[in-house]
Amino acid sequence: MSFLFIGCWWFTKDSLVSFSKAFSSKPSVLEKSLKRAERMKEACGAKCVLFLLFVQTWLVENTGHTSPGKPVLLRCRSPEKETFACWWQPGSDGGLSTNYSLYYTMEGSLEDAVHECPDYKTAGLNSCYFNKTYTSLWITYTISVVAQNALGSKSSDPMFVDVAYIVQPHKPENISAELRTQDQKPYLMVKWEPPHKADTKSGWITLHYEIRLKAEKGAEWESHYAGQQKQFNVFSLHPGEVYLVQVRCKPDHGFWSEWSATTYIEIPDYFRPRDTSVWILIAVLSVCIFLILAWTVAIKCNSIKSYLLPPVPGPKIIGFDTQLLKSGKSEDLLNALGCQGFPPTSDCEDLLVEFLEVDDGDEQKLVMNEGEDDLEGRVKSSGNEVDNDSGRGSCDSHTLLLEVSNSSTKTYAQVGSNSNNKGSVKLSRKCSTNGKLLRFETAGEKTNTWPTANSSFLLARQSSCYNISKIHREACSLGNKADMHGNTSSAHKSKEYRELHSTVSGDQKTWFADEKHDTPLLPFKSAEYVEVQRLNQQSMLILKPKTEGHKSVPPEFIGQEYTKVSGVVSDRVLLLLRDTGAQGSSDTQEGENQAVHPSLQCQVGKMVGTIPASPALEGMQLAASGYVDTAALLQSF
Amino acid sequence: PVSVLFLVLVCLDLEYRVTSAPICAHGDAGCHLLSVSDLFDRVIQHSNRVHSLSSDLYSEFERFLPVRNQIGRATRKCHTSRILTPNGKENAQRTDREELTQVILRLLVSWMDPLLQFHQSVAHNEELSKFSSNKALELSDMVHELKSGVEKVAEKMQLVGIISNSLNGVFPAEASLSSSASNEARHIRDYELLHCFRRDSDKVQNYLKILKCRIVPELGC
Repeated sequence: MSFLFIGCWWFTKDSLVSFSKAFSSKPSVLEKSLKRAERMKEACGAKCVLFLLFVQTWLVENTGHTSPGKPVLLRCRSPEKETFACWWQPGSDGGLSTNYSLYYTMEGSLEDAVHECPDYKTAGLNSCYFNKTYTSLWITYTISVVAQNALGSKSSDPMFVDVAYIVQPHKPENISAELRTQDQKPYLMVKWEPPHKADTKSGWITLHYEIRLKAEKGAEWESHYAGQQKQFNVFSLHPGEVYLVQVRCKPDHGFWSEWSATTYIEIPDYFRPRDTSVWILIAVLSVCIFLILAWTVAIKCNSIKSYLLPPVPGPKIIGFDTQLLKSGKSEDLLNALGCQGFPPTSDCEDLLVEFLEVDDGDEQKLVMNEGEDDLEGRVKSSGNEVDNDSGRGSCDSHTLLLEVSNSSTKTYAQVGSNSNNKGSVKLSRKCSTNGKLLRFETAGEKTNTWPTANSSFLLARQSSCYNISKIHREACSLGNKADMHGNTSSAHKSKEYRELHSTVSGDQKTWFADEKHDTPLLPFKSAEYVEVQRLNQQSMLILKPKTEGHKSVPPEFIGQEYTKVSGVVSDRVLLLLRDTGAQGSSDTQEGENQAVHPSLQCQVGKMVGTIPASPALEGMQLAASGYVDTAALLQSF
Repeated sequence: PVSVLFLVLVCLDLEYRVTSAPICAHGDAGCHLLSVSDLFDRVIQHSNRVHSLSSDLYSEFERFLPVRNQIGRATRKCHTSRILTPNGKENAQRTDREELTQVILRLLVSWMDPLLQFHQSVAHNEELSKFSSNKALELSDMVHELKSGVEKVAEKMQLVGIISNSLNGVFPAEASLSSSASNEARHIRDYELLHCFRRDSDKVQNYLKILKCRIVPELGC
């Protein structure tokens, strides 16, 4: 047993010596000592090593003790750059009582002089305290701790320390927080003093400070760097709260101290009344404003009422406004009548939309609208009923619209007027640029003859109205089509005819206005009336002749629905052809397909434009331009 | 900046010598004390900058150091270790002003040449960044300026009579200029040089502060 102990002690001593030589000397010395140990081991031979191992394991098995674990040096700190202390953490003690000893060497002094810690107590457990005598600045200490128990010893890794760089001061002291006001705003003036041990007076240590504060209910601290001064003003405060204030310090190059003890200070609420006074002021102002508004409203009660709640207008004829009639503005009237798009817009500059209005009696007055160009005349109609049911095909509209578009010449269509002051219609229509004008002038009532060439007749029923916009559009499109065709067929100049087809869906008679190239015109003796009923999808204008009765209608006239407009005479008269034996429907179909040479089969007969029941002329063939001049609306029949 | 101080000092000195009209109403002594305080503040700022530069460079070198040299670092002695410097507060406070000023000047003078060489060495070192080279140059320049500033302060103090005229000539410590062949050896040598200089710059700063607070204690001590 003793032999074992001797053996162990011999080894540990050796290791201790070698260790002490190792860390206090240069690496080569350490290597030397290690080599020495190695040599010793070798000298022993494997036998000794085995023996030792045996012993150790036997000891462990029997007693559970081992040599101590390796201690670890935690840190060394100097509070005032005059003394310092080091702390370590012990390793496992191996079950036996273990001694810890700290050894150090100093650079510059004798290289091999190993010193032991002068004071193990002052700084607490597992610590070493160096007082002023043992502290030298700007010198590198090499420090290590050795743990030793009965079975062995272990030394920690060395730590190199220069006291000037491990300064961590104590906390600042005597922190006072004072509430002051500046310009009615509260601020906190915080004052403190450096830790009493740190000698800042002589300039040995220079400290920088940092202050932090937090509302008691707040979550986060608000930090401020205060430099080297010993007071600080804090401005961002909320009244009525309790604040916590803390200060810490740090030397030039060193570690921050711990936060000082918390100082509590309460910010009183006496700034609230000021806020309430502001609110009172705002309330008073708003009351005054309200009173002023109420007074204003009371005075201007009536006018406000009429502004906010306009009087309910009286019953109004749909689409027809007598006021507008009186004012004579065609646009307004037509818009009121629901005829939109009149006058024609710029894309159809060549076109002039005109409408023909025929009324049935004296009481009817129609206003002719001419659109862009000057009117040749105006006829006013005072109709009791105004119907803007254009496109429906019913014959109760007062207005008649015939829209023809052309691109070549101006033609007038003249419709004969009734002499008996019945509703006669004079249509004149002018095209602006290169269109043709068709003017329809109603001839006498009994006239059955068509005017001379280039005139045609339009009979308008008293109660038909066309959707001007629709007609216009269709005429435009048709005109464009015609233009196209004209271009393609290279008969641009000679193209004079245009087809306007209109069908009345479900109605009895249809008119077709059509144009044909160079169709000879038949002389017409009398002006007859044509009622344009509607415009169908194929841009066909349906004209319905008005006849006085069936009596004077030539037989061939009856049953046929088309009137051929052969041409326009002297730009003023639309010649309608009497065409026999032509069937309207087939022609219309042809006409649709061709779009240039539509044929309107119509029979020109007597056109009497008074009674709605007259059979309608089949079609109207418009010469050349196909414009209807609605310059004059004659009196109703 | 120190050149401006130069001008100020020169002007003040001229006025002091040529005319007897005091610059400030408190009398010449008060005025000179004020200017001494300003001079001290200036040189202390300089020394602070010098120390921070040296710390930065030291950290950079430490990063690039080969690992095996971590053991027993800076074991070689500094060339300025021959200069006796107070190594504690009491020692420093026991040292008189002239000696303290002398120590400061000696330290600064001793470092002027080695720092120049250091800068040249760093400039040729490709491993280090451009910042290191710039810092080394700035370090060298600032040490020059600091030395001039301290000399001015010393002159001022002598003029005012704060310290006696017993300042001997400053004998710088001779640095052993070892030229190493390999990069690594040079690197280690520069690292150790920085280690020594960093410490010496801290000494200089500390001594200057002690001097200032001893001579003009009212302001900022």
